[in-house]
Amino acid sequence: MLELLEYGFVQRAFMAGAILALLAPLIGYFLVVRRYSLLADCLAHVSLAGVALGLITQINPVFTAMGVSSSTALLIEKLRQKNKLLGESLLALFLWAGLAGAVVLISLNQGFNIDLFSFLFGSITAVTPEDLQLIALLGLSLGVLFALFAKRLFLIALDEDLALVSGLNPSLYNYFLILAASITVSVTMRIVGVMLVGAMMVIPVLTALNLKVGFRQTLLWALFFSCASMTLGLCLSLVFDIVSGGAIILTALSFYLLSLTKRG
Amino acid sequence: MQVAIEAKNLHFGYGATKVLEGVNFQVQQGDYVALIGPNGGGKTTLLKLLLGLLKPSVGEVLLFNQSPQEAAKKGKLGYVPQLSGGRAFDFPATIFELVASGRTAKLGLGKPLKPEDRDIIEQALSKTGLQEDYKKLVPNLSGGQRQRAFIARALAAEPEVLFLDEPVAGVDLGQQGRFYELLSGLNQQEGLTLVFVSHDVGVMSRQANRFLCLNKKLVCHESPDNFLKQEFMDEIYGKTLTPLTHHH
Repeated sequence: MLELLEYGFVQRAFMAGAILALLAPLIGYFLVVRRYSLLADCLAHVSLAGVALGLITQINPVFTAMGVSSSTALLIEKLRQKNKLLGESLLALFLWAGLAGAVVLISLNQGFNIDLFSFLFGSITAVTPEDLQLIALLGLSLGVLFALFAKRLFLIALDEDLALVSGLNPSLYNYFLILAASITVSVTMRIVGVMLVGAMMVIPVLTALNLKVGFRQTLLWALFFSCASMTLGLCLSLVFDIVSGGAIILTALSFYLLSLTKRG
Repeated sequence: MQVAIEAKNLHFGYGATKVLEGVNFQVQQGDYVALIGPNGGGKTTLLKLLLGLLKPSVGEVLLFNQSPQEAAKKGKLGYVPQLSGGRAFDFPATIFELVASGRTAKLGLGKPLKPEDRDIIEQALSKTGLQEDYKKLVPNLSGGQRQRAFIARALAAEPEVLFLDEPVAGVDLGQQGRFYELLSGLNQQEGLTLVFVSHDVGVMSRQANRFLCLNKKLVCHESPDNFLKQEFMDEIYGKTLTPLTHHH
């Protein structure tokens, strides 16, 4: 195991994993408390269409995924604010649209099965030095913005009307949150995979919520469970040569099951 | 006495359904106003128009002679929403975190609470009798404690007018009594202007000094004694209702 850590791709996977393990539950937390957990899954499926587009056009699929999911995220938020559809149905609609678009694009080009598999289920070897630089830059930028906005996001998550009456503009922070979610989904899927990226954002938060502590402590526990799941999952993936996404999420689920004993 | 709230010819509807028509009134600073009327009469809609959460199709709301949005930015408004549903039941926060969120808009971006903010939060907890319970989780609170926690949150913002939307729904009678005492104290001792949406005409006739009665249009804006006259009750609730009053 220790010799494996000398390989560059393993080091990059652990470094990228650490950044994403801190970022994913940070965003997932505000989605879960607003009962919007399905958003991450919806954006992941939409990202898959972006990945297929990138593979066809030979543009870095992370960028095309980010473009497609960010524009979809903005549209979802716009429709949510106009109350055009119930939140849950809106997400389901875009999830199916994303998946259908991806399937059509994939069927148009049969030549990228191996690449596609790594995007679907995650791959420890997939993180290139350029990916790591991008993940570090996005992780740092979003981390700083979350630190600045945390108190306001708390109030908006509690009640948007209360935030408005306090003189804040919830719409601005909602757009930030949904864009941050779409960007994080697009970069996290490199390691965890499209099919499981939503789980990485939500399961550590659900685990921490079972501990029944305050808002700040719940967030700190979610970050701990996320980092522990990522590290242990990547180790299991290396040692047993299994797909990283599945190993990470099964580890996160184990923590969740353990937390149920605390919940009682 | 300064005018705290002024509604000028307010009209509002949802699509073709008219909810409010030509509502005019003024509320003076320090008033305790009961906003009453039948279900569907437009009470919550009017409250949302006053708070700037909805925009009137015709007319204007002024709070301290400025728009609700301007008054909100200056931290003049407090609001206790209906708590019978929504996230208030399972939001994973302690009472302290909830009350501290009343200071959020007054803090700069990313700034921590200063000692003076903590003093204001402690005073809000103390006024609402929650100083011993500040570590308790919001989902574990009784209905009465939850109401007081949301009032403490509103007080932590140091508002000049506090709006409450049916805040005693789901709260047992014993706790309701303590809740009304708290509001009377805030109004009489601290001069806080209160606008209280309620169905309970009997209780509000002992608490409020002004009644705003709504049934799509403003039926009356009166003192409690005048309000209990049969003509107003008939217009609001129909001919079948007779008010019963108790004198012990």
